[in-house]
Amino acid sequence: MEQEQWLYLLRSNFYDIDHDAQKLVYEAYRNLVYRDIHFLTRSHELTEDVVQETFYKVVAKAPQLRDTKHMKAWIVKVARNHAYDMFKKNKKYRHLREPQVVIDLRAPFLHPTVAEQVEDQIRNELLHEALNELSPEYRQALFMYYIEEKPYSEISQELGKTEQAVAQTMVRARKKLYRYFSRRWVDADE
Amino acid sequence: MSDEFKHDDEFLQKWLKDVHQDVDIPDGTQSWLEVKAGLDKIKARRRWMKRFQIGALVACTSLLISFFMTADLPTAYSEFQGLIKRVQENLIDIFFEEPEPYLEENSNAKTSSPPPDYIVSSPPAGESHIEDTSLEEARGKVSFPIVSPTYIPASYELENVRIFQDSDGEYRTVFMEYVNREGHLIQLNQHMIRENSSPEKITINHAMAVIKDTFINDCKAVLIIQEPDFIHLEWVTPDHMKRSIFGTLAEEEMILIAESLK
Repeated sequence: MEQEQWLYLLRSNFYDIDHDAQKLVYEAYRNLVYRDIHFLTRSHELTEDVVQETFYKVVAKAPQLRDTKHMKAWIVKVARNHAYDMFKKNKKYRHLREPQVVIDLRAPFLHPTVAEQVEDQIRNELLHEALNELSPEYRQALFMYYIEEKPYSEISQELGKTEQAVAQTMVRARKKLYRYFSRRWVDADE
Repeated sequence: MSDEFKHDDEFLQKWLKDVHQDVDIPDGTQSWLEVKAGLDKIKARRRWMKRFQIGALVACTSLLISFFMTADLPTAYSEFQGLIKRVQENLIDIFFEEPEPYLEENSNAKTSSPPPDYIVSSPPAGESHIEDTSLEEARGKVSFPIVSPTYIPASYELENVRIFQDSDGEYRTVFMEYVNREGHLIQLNQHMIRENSSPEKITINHAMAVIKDTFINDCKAVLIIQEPDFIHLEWVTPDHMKRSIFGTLAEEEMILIAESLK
């Protein structure tokens, strides 16, 4: 479904459209927010909860929006804020089990190009694990800066912090990520 | 920012973006089924609320009319005529006793009978005073033995009890609300019919409902189904009690609840 079309459907009375159309809208919405939420929650189960809960909010509030111009950004923001709120409210979500990492032990004997690809894959897996260890606050900061590419001024506004505080959080987040990652990288190398 | 730091930062950004995009989105079928169930519940709740609001509007209107009539201010009633005429289209009146001729529409009367969205039971005559109370307290106040169901679907619990005091000070009406974890409601109403009161009547918009005759413990009853899951059951017992139950549940369950009243 065209991106614009599903946004328009969200602005209509969503409960009155048929289930097939509702499903298409939900799938488009889920694909839009899933990776962002997963980056923050580091768990498919939690991501699913956030995606579902936020969808009800989006369906309820979307018809009140003036236009569809900034709707996509608004939806993404609603979903992320829900994930942030969940962390704030419930500390039990802060320590999640790590996902299983499968490392191909044949990697060193493969053709260099393939080996490079495998190395990329291993690096990504280890980075996933390192991100799992980071606190939600640091993940949020890294997400806003590196994935959303927001400047410190915008991040500080959204988080209600000073730019200096954001810069400090970023330094700490980088350091911790580097420490968690290098520990694993060395272990994987041995 | 040093070149080295900038270089490292660019790498970190690339890696983090890879990790972000690296996540496989799982199949969404199960997720959609869960969301669909949630949406259906919200839709049912919204419909219920709409129905309740219209019902409440009509009930308030008829209570206001009763008040104005009692206070001998018939002119005030004319303000409500439009609403009553509109909602009286496509209606069926069900009487639990033979309607006496003088109770039918009187061409000289200043008012016609009050009226509904879909189903409205005749409200108690005169002014009513509503009290939220407990079942025990209600038992001590009302003029009849309150019955309660020995069968109620799983997870429903009695949450509210309301009693209505008529203008003569007697309590002849009790509302009991059972609510489950999802917020679904079953309401049980018990109303003692006064000896000289007008015949008990409910008015139904037949375009919006299926009406079935049934029996509850040998008493003739009427089952009104609006949606596949919204059911209203009403009957009068030999001891002049009008009982009604409504909620969003299966027909068989509704009858089981009604037959379990003790």
